[in-house]
Amino acid sequence: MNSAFVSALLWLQQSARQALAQGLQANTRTAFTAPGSTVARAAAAESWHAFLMVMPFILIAFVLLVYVMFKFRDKGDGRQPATFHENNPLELLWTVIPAIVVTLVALHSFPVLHFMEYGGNHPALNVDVVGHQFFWEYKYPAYGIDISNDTLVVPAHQVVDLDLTSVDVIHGFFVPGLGIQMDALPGRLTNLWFKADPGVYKGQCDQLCGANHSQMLIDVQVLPDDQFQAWLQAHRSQAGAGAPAASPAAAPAAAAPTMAMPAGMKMAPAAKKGGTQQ
Amino acid sequence: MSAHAATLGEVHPRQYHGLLDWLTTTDHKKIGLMYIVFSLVNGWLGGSLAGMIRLNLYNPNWHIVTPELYNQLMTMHATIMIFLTLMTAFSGFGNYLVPLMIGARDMAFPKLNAFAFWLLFPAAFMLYGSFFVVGGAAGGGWWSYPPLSTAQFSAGHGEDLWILAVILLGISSIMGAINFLVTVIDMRAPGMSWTKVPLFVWSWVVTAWMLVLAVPVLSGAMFMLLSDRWLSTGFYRPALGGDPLLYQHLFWFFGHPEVYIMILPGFGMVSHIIPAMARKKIFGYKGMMVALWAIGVIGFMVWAHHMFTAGISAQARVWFSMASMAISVPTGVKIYSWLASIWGGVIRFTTSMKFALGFIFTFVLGGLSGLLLAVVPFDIQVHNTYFVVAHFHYVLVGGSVMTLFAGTYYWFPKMTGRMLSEKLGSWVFWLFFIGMNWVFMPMHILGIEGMSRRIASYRPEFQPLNQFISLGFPFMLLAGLLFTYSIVAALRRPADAGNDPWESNQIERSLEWETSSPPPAYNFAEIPEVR
Repeated sequence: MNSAFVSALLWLQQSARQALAQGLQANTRTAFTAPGSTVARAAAAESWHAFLMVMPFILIAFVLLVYVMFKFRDKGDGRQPATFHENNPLELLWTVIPAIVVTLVALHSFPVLHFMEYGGNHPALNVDVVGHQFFWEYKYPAYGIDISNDTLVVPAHQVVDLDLTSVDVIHGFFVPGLGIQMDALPGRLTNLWFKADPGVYKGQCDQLCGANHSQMLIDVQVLPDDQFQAWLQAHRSQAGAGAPAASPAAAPAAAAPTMAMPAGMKMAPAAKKGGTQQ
Repeated sequence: MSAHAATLGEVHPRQYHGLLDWLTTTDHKKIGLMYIVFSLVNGWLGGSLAGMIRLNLYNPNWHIVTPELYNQLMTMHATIMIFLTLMTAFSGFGNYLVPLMIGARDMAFPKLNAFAFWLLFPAAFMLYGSFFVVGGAAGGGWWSYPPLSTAQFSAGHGEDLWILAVILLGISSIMGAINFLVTVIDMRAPGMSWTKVPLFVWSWVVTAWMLVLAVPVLSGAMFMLLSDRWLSTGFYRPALGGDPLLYQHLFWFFGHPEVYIMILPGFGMVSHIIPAMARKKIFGYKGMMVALWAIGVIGFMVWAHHMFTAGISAQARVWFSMASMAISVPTGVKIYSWLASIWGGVIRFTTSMKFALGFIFTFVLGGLSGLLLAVVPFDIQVHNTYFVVAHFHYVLVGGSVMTLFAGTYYWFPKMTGRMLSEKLGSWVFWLFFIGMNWVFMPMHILGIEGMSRRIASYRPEFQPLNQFISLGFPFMLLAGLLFTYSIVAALRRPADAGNDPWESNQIERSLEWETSSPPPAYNFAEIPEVR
């Protein structure tokens, strides 16, 4: 009986996953349909685990609801209602068992949280992500690259470390296919990492940031290492030749962060990560 | 006895008649009714904003409203629905029913009660009026996170009016909550010990306790925001040593208990309706009472699950994840106890029972998504997406609004002496139930697919589902129209409902059914005794 139940749940999971994948056009990826990073895969697996663990309680409630509705409706046959109104063992049971199960669900998720938080050791690339109304600025401190309103380009299969901050309001860096989401707050540094498969990933600002919030999109291109090195070389020479004015969009943006930082507060992304390149 | 009643009439003299009587009344029943009408009117206004939102989202290229106006509509929809519709509706039912249920003649502080109600009007005036000031209404979402809500990024006075309105509404709620607590503690009928207090009254005691603890924190956060805007302080400004995260902690310390403030009285209502309609006593009264308190206490320890992607530490997220899951245990106790209350009963499928059963269905789904959102790795995937929108609409529409419909159909005869049409009621239920699932169920999928909330337009791949969702809205609209019509129609009929039209007191004694419908000004000619 148990195995039939489990296989039914697995079938449910499988068909839900397929339905989701079919409902999407090819250019959208999420952690659940086409996870593109180790973080996304871990998060999706953990989500399914939690879903399957709590699902039995939901199903029991639904089955009971439908059952009592049909079984105990007034059929006009003069049946007298039952008079019981408490049952201590039963009440203890439906308190203790769910408590144990949700504890297990929570405990099971903490190693995954730990991995998502601390798993990105020895990053191959550090990028400082700065939120602006209404675009993103990406700085590669080790290479002197500073691009705005452009695609974030990173190497595949290597740990990429992002330090996020903002120069104005709070923004949210959200790329579903990579399984990452973190707010970028003024005056604070937040951090996330990922190790991605090659491909193109779309995302967008996920924290209401003003009138054009819905236009604040994110594009991430994950390139195989050789192509990424070529991209680096191209952008490096550009940055070196033209100094800060090489990209007109980047110039005002590059100056902005210092204004938002309190006097005396170091630009920590550059200070912390500047020398850690491989 | 009639002589006694006449004397009581003298004790509660009506100084004015007609409109002036309503404007000056301190009678808890009249104030309760005014709260409910106020809520219904605001439900219509807040609902029509939702209609404009759905129209705009039908096609991402229509741009029926500007992005600025979209943000205002979305912000005001939430503010109106939360503060002016749901909270006032439950205050209305609480005001009307709590004194009746505990066998009291009025609330402990009748004038404070009236004052708390009339404070709603300047607040509502400021909220609706803010659409017409330069820059329009507040557009920073109902969280109103700084720095977006600071003077630098929201210069218009719409934001100031919004802050002042929320402060006023908070003062009104605190006064109401203190009134409820004192009333229930001091004015219960002789013999009504704490283990005999009806569950709706218990639910309001816990709600009032949450209001008294949570709302002052919101007011403090709002005053600091106002001060940052106009007095150059830096509570939330990094450049002055402040921190925008401080606001988020303060706001959600209020914001999460607020969710329970908007659902616990609904739990209480359902705990009266199910036994009456299944003709069987409530199952596990004490368990229900303990579960209410567990929710009321743990509800204060879970606030930062709204901030899992705000950059708080992993350790903090471990705690808030654990506590958020723990709260599903008492909620589960309530669900299972309601089902056990029906078990073995003889069910009458009245409209109120249909709404109560429909509520169990939708609330279980809202609980499932809520439990999943407490799992941090999952939350990171769908935080601030339509999955969250789906979740809280299942809780607030599938939970709070459905219980309010159930409560209206159940207590309307007591409040007016007239029955609401059961035939129309069945239409109201099915239209609303189908409409709400039609609208909110697909939002889960949109969120899983990565569609952010609070966006005025979206990428083309999200269009088919958004169109589908928008087409469900007319069903809810029609349910609202029929519901409003059936109230008006019922009020034109003679008052012949009788004291206890549902024969509730044959199942479980609840004092409101022992007086006439509608009750006299003094409620009870003689204060009933509870044995």
